[in-house]
Amino acid sequence: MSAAMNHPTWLLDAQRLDKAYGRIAVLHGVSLGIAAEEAHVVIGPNGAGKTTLFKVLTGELRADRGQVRFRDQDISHLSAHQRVQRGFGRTFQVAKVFPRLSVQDNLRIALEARQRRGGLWAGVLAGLSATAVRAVAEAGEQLLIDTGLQRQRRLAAGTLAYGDRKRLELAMVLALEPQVLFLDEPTAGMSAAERQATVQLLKTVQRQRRLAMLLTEHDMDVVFGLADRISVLHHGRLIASDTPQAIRADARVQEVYLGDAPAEPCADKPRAAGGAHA
Amino acid sequence: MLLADIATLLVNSLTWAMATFLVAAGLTLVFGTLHILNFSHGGFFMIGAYAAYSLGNWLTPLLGGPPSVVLYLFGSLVAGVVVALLGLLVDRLVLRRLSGVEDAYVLIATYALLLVCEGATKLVWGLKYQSVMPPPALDGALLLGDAVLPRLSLFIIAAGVLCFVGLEVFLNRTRPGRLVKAIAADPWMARLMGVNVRRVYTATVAIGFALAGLAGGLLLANQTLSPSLASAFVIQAFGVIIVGGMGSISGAFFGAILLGLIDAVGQWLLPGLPGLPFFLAMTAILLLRPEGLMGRRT
Amino acid sequence: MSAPSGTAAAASAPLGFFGGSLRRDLAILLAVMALGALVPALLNRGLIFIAGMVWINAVFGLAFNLLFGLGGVLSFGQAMFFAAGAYAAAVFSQQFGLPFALAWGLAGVVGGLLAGAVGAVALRRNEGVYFAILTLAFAELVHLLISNTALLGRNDGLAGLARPVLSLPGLSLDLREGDRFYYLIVLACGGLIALLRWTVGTPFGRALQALKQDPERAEFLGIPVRLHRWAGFVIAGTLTALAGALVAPWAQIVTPELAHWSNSTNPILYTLLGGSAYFWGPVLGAVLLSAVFYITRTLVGVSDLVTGLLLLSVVLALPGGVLGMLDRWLRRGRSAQDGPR
Repeated sequence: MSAAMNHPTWLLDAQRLDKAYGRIAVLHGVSLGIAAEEAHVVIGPNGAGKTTLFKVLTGELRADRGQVRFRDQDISHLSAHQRVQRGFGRTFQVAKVFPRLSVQDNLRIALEARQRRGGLWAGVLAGLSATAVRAVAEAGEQLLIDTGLQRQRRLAAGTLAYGDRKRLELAMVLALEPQVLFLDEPTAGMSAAERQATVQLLKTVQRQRRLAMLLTEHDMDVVFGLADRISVLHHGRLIASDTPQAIRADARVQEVYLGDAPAEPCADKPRAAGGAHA
Repeated sequence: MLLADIATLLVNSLTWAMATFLVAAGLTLVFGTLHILNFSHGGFFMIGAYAAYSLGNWLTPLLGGPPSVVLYLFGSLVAGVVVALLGLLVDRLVLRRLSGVEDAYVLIATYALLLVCEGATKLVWGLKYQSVMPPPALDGALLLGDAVLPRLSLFIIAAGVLCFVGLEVFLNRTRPGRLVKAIAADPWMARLMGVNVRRVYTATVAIGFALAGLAGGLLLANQTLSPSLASAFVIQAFGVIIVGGMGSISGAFFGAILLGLIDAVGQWLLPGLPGLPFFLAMTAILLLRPEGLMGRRT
Repeated sequence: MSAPSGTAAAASAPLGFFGGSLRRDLAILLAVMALGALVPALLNRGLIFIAGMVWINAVFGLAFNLLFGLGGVLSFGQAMFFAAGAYAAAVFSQQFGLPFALAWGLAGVVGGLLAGAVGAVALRRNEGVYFAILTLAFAELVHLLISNTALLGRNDGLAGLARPVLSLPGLSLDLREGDRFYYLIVLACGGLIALLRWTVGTPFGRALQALKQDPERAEFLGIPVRLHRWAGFVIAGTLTALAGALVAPWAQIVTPELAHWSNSTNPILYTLLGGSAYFWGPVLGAVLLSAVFYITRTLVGVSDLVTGLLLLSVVLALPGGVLGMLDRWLRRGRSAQDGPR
């Protein structure tokens, strides 16, 4: 483990998380830190516990032992929606949107949820105030333009093509103005070109909005293209958490995961858009 | 003196418990296997009771003399068969079509079926309340010291216990029964193993409905016969299977006993509000341990 | 719900809860109220009474659908709020002597409080089946308590309830005469319907629709799902109680029958028959079913049978209800070239 483990300025700090389903232990003392504006990727073979870790960090599950701290506050007992209100955003492997509502309404609901962060009463007042309503409409319009979905604004979100759905979901989550974005396999099921485009989009988004990101991923090009730091899970244990360079060089990681690493040393720098790598 | 009171309390609560268990058994069996909560189960119980009643009315004068226990039991069996046949019809026309449907709509559909049962009963048998006398062999009571133990109550308790034992043996020690349990646990796996799941479902529905009809016949002399029988028993049966764990026969059995005791004790302490302890107990269980005594957390 | 249709059809399906705008629906409401106001001039006493009950039941159905159609929450016990409202209005006006408007408002509060308490308990678990049964059980409990309370008249209920004399600043409206109270029903129910329609279009209403379609996504947008469901339950309970409260002066008697579970299923019937995906569905259902009940009233058991069969066929064959069927016909009639609304 890197000596930076107890760095005092982690935005998100998970300490010694244990989680078991019945008698099957899935996470063993996992400690993880994410700095502000950092892109952090969690990798590991299937069954390593990545999804469970995700669920524990986002509040979908409670850890049996250990703590999750956000901006130096203990949030381990907070529910998922409470964490979102504190600044979390989450996208799902299969994009989740509201299928029978229009694209426009989907965005509207996300924006209104953002307004409600000031408390239920703030939400009620915002619903009544004309300025707030206009603000939502304008922000919604902007998001439609940003995602290129203006022409489809009245379509039911469930009828969108897969790529559009993913963009819509991302737009909805960004509408919440989160500080940390949790992305569950954002490029799952995509072609190489789509993956590249997604990587660029995420980098842009991260830079523009100064977000921290935590992703799980399988595709190594995406991982090394995005990550500022990488954590490696194996059988529910964190075996390494460091910069991409260090991870690449880590013998244990190579043994466990990158056993068939490509022969030629790939650059650690992010790839240029439209790279020829298949 | 006190012992007699306790004995009476015990017999009363066990009678209620076994009567409710007889109704709940079929309901929980169908839920456990098909995952359909059949509101209309109470309606078919009622139809079974009325069927047994009509049969008794028809046969008694033919056979002459007072009705015998054998006739009573025979009536129950016929009721069971009749309702089982109705169940097959319901399965074909309604239950099969509910397989892809959302839970809320399934509940509404089975509730609609209950309305149909009530309507049909009112049309065929009218609104009058009927009181059915038990056969002389089951009438009257046994005297145990100071305690008065009605024979009919003992009969019902015996019937409930026999039903429980029979179902447990069937489900755990016979091949078809274990098949039902396996399918309840994992229908997909069962299909993979080549089991004709549809046929087992149909058989389970038939058994569940047969139990409803049988219960109707057996309990005929225990309460007044009226079209409101369905709703009264359905809620009690729900309470019992929720407390016991939905899908579990032993859960329904012990849940019924527990609720019966709670209700009897509650009645004794608070005589003015019949049924209140029952609701309180059901609510408490639903909150504290929603999977019931014997249920498994999904 | 019906199986997902092809992309083109889905794209032009009414999105969200209804395809219309607030303005259009309010116009429809005013038209219906105008028609309703003509009733006393055209129909006999008995039918006027039924018309009044239809208005009240329409609100009952709409409140139910706020929960069910909008929020995806199925309650089998709405009758408890209806009865609570009716009994509260009766007690407040007859036994406490409060003016009608105050009694009516307080009846709504009673309904809201009851819903708050029941909701806090019943919504603890997420599975719909438990909630449905718990609401059924609580309603039965309320029924039991009402039937056994001497102050509430036990099984006979409270009779001899008077229609009110409204004293507003400057004028006094004697609603005891004839069927004048009917006009108050139309006004009151019209107001409640407008309120319901407005709620649907608020951010809260949209959040309810969202959490019905994907509660997990809603949760991860920061929407407190359970709180919203509870709030919806309280609103529905309050409005149901306000509707029930109008029964007290209209029928001039309140009985435990109002809390019977068959009354809980009436709004379910109205909603499904009319179409739960449409705002006006429960209203149409209330009108149609009242007609059915009226026609079959003398034939014992037939109303149960017909109602049951109707409901069964709607669930099995026509899940969108009458309005759903009409909607499909109209859309099939239009050319496929039409874009989404």
